[in-house]
Amino acid sequence: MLQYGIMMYMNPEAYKKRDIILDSIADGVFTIDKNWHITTYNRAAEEITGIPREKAIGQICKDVLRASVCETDCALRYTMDTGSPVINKPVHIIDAEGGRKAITISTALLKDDKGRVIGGVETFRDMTVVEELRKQVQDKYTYEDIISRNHIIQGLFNILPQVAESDCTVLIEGQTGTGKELFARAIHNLSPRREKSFVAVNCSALPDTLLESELFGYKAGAFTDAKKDKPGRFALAQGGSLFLDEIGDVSAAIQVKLLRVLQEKTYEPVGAVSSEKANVRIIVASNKGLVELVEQGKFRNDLYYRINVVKLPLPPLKDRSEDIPLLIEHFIHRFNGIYNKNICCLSDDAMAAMLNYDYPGNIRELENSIEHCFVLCQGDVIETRHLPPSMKKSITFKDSDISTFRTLRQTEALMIERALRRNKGNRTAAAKELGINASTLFRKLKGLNIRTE
Amino acid sequence: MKVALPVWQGRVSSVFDFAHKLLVIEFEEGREKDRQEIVLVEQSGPNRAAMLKQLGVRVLICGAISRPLAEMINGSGIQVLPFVSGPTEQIINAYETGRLSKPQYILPGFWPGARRGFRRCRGWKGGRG
Repeated sequence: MLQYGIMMYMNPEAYKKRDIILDSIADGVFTIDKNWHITTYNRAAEEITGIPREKAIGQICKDVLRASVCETDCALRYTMDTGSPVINKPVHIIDAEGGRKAITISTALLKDDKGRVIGGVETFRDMTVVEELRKQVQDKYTYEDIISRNHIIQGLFNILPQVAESDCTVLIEGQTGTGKELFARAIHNLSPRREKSFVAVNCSALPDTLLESELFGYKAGAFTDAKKDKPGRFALAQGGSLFLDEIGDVSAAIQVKLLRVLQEKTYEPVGAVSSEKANVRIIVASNKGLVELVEQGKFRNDLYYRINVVKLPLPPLKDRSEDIPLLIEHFIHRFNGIYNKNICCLSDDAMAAMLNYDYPGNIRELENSIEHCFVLCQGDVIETRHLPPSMKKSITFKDSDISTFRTLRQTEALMIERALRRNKGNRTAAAKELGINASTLFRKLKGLNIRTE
Repeated sequence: MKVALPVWQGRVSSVFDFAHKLLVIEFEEGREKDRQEIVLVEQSGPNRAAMLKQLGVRVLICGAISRPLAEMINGSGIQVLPFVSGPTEQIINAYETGRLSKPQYILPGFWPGARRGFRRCRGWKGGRG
């Protein structure tokens, strides 16, 4: 740092010119001296890592870049030791916002005019959008893709490793758009079966006869035009996990067959004369309460007890409103990459409308609403006029309209009251939901003069 | 009370999510009673959080940490003191003497509220509990 300062003092023009050149590069660039201290740090590096130049310069590079390889397989160390460059090595970093980012890094030696090695240079490129698209194409979602600070979801996170490890059947219950498949994929990706396939089937999307052959497959000659064997989803998921979505919609006949697979771990493809073994971990999901379906006689109770080994109830978005700003931020970041825009945030009124809305379609609806805003918004800030019509209504028809509040104190009081109401007056649970200490909440209740029963 | 620190070459590891070694120190009545080093294999966030809980860790002192993992660990009742940088022994000493929030131990670049746990531990002199 001192050395950098002295050099800047001795030849300020040359260094200013160099910084201008470096700042015009779209890739992140930093240089280090022989002691691994950062000596230059360009604007793109600031943007990718979220760490400003003045804080980065003089620090050890691994404390700033925070890459997965820094301590075990450092690319710069390799280059400094061997003299060979590293080109486009894919790694992950943790940025200043606490997010995991995919980047590629390239390294080279830094030499003075006499050819002596004086340090190293690392360039890196943000691959978040590519990674995001790859995830969408390959459906490789992990727990990190579930964004929540809600205490119920955090509680589920706590048991997720044990659930994933156990190989038992898991029932995920939640309204449409609450992330049932995301949880199922997270369980699979944490489980010992993660190297094998994850196969998802939406049971309500297929008619009964088709569902049977889709799940169990068929043999040649089983029916007209069945010219050759076709493996079913159970066979495709062999060794891996099978996710049966909307299990509440399957017919009684299929329920019996599923019960048999769960009990005996065997199944028969349509038209087969012998059984086949099913080495498959089954994860099921339903957007309807299966208990009610059992009571109504629409769902077999023996199957229900078979699948209800571990139940993960996912709360609807309206019950985890503390996650809405986090999710909005996540989707803005994501759509900025996809739509090549630079939208920073929502106006206060637009945010108020989004917080006030009930989201019957849950996170999927929120995601689509943000995408709607992205299509219409030409500036940097999403305004109320960019919101979908259903959300605009929420501005006018709601009680205790947050958009009419202008002070932080009023908004804080409203958020606390709502959190207390949602948690039936339980202050510890409300504090947890709000992401603050219980003692901070008590202090705020007193300060804001909010009475609780 | 058990305190854990991810370590690498005598310093606090830069990122807990990617750390390979964990130092677990047990304090009793303000004094160090026992310490052990645990090798962290390739583990996902929930596995790391579950392992800390299983070890009976009450406080995690670490460098950078991803937000979901920090929230997960916090959610399981473990206090997280993140964005700490420095030589391991100095950091342990600073923790014992309640000086961990000093500027020389701060790792640059963290989100607002990330270091709120330090407010709770300010003035803590070590070893109770």
